[in-house]
Amino acid sequence: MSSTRVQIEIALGALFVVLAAVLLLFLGFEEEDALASALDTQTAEKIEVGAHLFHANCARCHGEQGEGLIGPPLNDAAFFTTRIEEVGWPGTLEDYIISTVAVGRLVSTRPEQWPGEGYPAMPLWSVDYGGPLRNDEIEDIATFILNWEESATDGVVISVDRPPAPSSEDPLARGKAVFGAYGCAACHQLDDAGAVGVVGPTLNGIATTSETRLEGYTAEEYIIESIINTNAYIVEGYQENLMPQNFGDQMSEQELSDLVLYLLSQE
Amino acid sequence: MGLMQDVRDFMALDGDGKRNQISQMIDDRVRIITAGLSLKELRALVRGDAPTERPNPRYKVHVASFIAHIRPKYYQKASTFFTHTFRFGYMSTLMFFVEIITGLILMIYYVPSPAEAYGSILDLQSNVMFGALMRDMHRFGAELMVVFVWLHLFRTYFTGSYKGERSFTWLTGVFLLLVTVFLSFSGYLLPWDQLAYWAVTIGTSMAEKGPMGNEVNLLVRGAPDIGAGALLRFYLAHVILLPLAGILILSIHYYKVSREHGISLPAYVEETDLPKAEVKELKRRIDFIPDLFTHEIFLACVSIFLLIVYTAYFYNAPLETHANPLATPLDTKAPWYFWWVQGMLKLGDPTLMGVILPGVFVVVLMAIPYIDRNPLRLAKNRPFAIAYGVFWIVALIVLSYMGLPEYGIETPPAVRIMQDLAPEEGVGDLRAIPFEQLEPGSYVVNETDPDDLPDELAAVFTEYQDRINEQEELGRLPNAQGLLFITDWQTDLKRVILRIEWTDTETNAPKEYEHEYYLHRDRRR
Repeated sequence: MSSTRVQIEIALGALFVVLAAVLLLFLGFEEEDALASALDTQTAEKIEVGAHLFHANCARCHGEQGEGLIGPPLNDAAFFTTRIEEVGWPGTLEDYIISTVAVGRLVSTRPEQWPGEGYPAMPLWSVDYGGPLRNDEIEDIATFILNWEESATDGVVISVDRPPAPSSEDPLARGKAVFGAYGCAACHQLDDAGAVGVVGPTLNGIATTSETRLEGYTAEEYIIESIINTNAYIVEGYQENLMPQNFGDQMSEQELSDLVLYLLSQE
Repeated sequence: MGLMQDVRDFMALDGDGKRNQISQMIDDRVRIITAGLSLKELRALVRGDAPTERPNPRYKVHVASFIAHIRPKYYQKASTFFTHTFRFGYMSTLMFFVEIITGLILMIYYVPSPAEAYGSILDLQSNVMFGALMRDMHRFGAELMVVFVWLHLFRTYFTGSYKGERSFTWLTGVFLLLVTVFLSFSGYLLPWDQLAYWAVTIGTSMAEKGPMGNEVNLLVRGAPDIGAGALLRFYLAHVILLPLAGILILSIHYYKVSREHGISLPAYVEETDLPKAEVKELKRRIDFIPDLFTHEIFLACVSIFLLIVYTAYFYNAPLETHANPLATPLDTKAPWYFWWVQGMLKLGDPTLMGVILPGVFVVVLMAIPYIDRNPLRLAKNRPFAIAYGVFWIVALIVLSYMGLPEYGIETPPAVRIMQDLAPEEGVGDLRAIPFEQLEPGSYVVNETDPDDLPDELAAVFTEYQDRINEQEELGRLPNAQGLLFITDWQTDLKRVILRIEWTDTETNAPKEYEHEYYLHRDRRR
């Protein structure tokens, strides 16, 4: 090789080192913003995972929109402003949520209002104690719940848009889908729909029981009233004010009709 | 007493005397550090001038210095031609050093436990200055290293540079290939995401099918399934065992090249009738100090600059969702350098296809110098070897294609459509729709007019519609109906439901497949 080649390579090599240094300096100036943006993306994706987990595990007691069913609401302003003070929790709300989800609740702190599933009122979820969820999944659920803070109002307004029920020709199939879509399985047992809820009365054989349950009511009337005017009659041994009272507003005529037909088929 | 006397003697000298004394002292120090090169000599090296002393002090450096002893004194000119080596061996080694440096930095932040590994990677990318760059460089550098090692193997094969005295060098080279591939594979598991977990599950499941499969499986995983034991063992293999083995074998490999038999000459120099003067010129010595050394540094500067540019602007190391041993994602596949094995597994018995045949392949690869009795290296003098090499490259490519999930795996049509639009891992067309364009509503296939929808939503809806109609026409989704339903769910979060209903081809019962997706404004698009 000639001497010129050595000199050219040294010069070019030095040039590329300088370019690399300048590039890294440039990237360094943008790095803080890049890190913040990466954190936003990670949080966004945690919320997405949390939403999915909430829907699969928590909605049956706390409601699809955190409005509260047999478990307390997580979507109202009180939860974000006064709850931890109310219970005397010394840490952050996030830690409160994570610890509650991880360990569950043996006994409800507000049993008249939110009895949960009895004993334990809320199951434990963390794998550390034998539950089904990893700790990062519990953190994702907490991140999802905390995302309600911005929109939380005094008293939760439930306005869940549901997808139209499957357009089956068979009203019983449609009715079964309505049963699933409106979360009846959270509280009621119905073998045909794979529902194992214990908060409300069993619906196995409801077609037969409802014929004679209330005097002056046909089976159909009883079922319809149970759905749209829930507090009119409470079966003995069960609590009032637990069943959501706005199914009448939420469901369409067709959905209600299909659901009733489906329940009337459960002999 | 001696020191005071030296100082007195020094002060007694005149101006010139003092200058000479000082430069003599500096010269001595420099010679000690550089193993024999004076300051003047260093200057001559940088200028590309001839040696300033006789005998030439530059060769002695290779004997006297530890770092320089493994480097060659010189190579013959033709063996340094770019078109002969393509610098593949050099680049493989450079990538190894890049991996070591970036790896050492990553080790500061990474935690090798299933509970914390994934979180430490997230932290690295959102909370550590240049963390993402380090990780991207490490990941991409690993891919490049595997590529360069394979290319180096092919080059050495096709130039016939494994024959005669180089046969043992070839053998160590194949071991280095194995070390490289397993370095990459062991590192693959460390992020502990779905990609890592399931790719390694596929890879290590083949260990069970080999001889003493149960024991090997337990050795590799520390338990019947992949968990904390496997992660720690893979981590230790990745950061200690394999790098040490790699450095040891690389030293043996490289020492033979640099100090024993040199880089091979292109075959035409030795095996064709060239004029003597030309041959003499082609065999002229190119010294390491300064020529080859300068060239290496130059290549390193350019390569690392290009690597930083590429990884900073055009590459993102993949990170899927957290590893979930209970849920195998659709379209799971092994790392790309193992696709050929995954392809072979689709051909027959796992033990034969996954263990025995790949094992035979590796053994044959090692034995090539001993099987090939032809002493000639020029391509036209070894047609069988060349054909054999081309055949194996083509076979590897074909088998790698067969390893992809697109080949030979039937997915039910409704599942396939939704997986393609919104894959379980990754982004996909549905999730790439800008958040504002996800207008809440109910969009029914073959009823809703896509023109009423915002552009990207319309494009995805049309694709959804076309795919469903296509499957209906093929008779695989009779009476198909499709729904795309978008609703506001939370601040900056929308829920999308895809549902496909059809009539079962055999029982005529109504069937449905539904999937819900939650899309946040700030997610990756």
